[in-house]
Amino acid sequence: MMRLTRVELRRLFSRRLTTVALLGALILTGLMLFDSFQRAKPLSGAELASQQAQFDQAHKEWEANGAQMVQDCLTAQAEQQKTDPKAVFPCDQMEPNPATWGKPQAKFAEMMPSTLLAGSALLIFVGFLVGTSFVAAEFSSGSMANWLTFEPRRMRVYASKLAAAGLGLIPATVALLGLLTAGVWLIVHHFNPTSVTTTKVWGDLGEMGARTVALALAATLAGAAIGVLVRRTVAVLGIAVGYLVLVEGVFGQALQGARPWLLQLNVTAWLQHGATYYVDSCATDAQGHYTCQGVEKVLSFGHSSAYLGLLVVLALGLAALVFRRRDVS
Amino acid sequence: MIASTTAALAISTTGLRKTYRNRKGRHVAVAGLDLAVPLGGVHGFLGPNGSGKTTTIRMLLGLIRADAGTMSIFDHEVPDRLPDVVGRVGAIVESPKFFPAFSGRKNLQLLAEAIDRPRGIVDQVLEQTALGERGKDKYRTYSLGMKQRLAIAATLLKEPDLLIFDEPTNGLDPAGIREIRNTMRSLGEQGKTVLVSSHILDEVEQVADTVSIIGHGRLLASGRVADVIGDQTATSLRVGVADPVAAHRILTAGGLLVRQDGALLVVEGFSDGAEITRRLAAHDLFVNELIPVRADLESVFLELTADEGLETVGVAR
Repeated sequence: MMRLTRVELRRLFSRRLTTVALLGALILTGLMLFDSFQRAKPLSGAELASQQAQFDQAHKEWEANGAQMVQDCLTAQAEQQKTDPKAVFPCDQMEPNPATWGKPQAKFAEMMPSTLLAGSALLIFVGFLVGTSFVAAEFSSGSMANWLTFEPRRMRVYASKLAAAGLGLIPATVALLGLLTAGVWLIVHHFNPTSVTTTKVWGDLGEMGARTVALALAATLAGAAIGVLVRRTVAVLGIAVGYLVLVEGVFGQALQGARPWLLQLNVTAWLQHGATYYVDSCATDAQGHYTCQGVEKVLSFGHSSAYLGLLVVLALGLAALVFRRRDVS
Repeated sequence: MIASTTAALAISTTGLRKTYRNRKGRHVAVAGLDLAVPLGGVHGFLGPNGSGKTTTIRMLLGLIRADAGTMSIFDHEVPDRLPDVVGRVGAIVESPKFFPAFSGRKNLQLLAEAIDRPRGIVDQVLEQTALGERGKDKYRTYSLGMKQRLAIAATLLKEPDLLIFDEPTNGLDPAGIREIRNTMRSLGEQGKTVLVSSHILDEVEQVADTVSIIGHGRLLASGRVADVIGDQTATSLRVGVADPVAAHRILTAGGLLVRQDGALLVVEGFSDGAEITRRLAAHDLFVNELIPVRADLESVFLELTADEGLETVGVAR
């Protein structure tokens, strides 16, 4: 088993798609760092002057029309409160404030979670793609039959492929996450040397990173399992795109009650330790007006853990069953 | 499944069955096949396309599941004990299948590592199959002949006692065909058992010591190639004589079955050339050509399958 896994690892890293996918992930990580650099970079002298001019203009308008603007705001609020008594508009915060005008100073604790979420999505996709292609290519090239004439114990073959895909992708995932985190931290500290990152922030980011690695591993294994079932990388990608468009897009919008079972939301809930989503709550009020409003719902971390875990186990189990029994041509 | 205990056999199957099911219905590919491949030498596995040869080989190698019957390789019940014996079996099933983006050498290295063979053996088998120079090239750039040679190289990684070649000369040019046939013969002469499946009668006749002929998934005949021919078809004689009309009359009057084939006569089911010469000489007719006609596997196959409604096998000359 160890020998087979070693061979599969060699094959994994000899594949062009693995190299291209990891190189692509590295380039996209670089682009995310560049984006972080742009967001953290303070405004230049010219930009500051332009911003000051815009503020002065806004303030001049406020002095001339501020009272009317507040009045209009309160009127709109009162209108809204007829259907939604709890509606509160920020009418007392309309005056331009130099403290909130312009670009705030970069803070690692604020920038990193969103950057990490984007990086996680990338690494999950890379894991899924590499896992799928790693196994499906063997079926589509016909070399699986050849391989089985050398090692006919199918469960060993299956386990070695999963192990290699998983073991091979974990270090790459950890390395890219480390690069992203270190890069953002360095960028922020370059522009804001006095900013402090608390232990709690590091702890939260560490947990999120660990969850990303776990999910990337799960995506790799699930990809490999689906590769066994579908046997064509292109077909798997087609199914994935079809799912995103039809199920996540069309079905998810039309049937809001099904949202807790959509993959994207569960992935977000897993990565962020819970996620919120909105469903429309519609009713006819006493005046006969049919109105809808968004109601916030919470998808718990426990729900996403159980649901995603179940899906991965199902995919792995089904693929094992099929691979064990299916004729290989 | 219960294994055969016939130790002198390299391969044995009993009552082997396989039915494919698809939207169009059921197709019986192998219908109770009893196959016995003796140890050592080349055994031809002959039958027309679709007669169940490849399906049988796939079942032996554990690639597809049998619906019924027993199989054994070197007295090991398969597929249950296939892992115990697979190291002694090298096989090429239909066309060679390797990773197209890897070099020939890389493909072999992965296989060698999987079965714990030393790295040096890869260069050794590449040289053996005259691929040493092209070993570093991507498999997808190989010609069909080179792909076939790489597949043979892969089987040699195991130093196998049994080699299974499924239609090994399909698509090869004449030089490639001769090379593969020589390789098979050479392996058989080294004492290895070679099972070569083919729908080409001439191929089996040239390389095989023994043969099993199948049609519609069932065994039709089996034995030494010469015996199978001798058992199934009477030998004929082609006779050249100055006056074939008179000779025809004389031989027919003597109770022989004679037909004219151009300037020659063909005496069916009779192989005693001396008797033909004596009868004609008694009437002052002297034989100027006397050719014994050996039955070939084509006629054997046609005779065996006369009642089966099978298609004729191809003949490559």
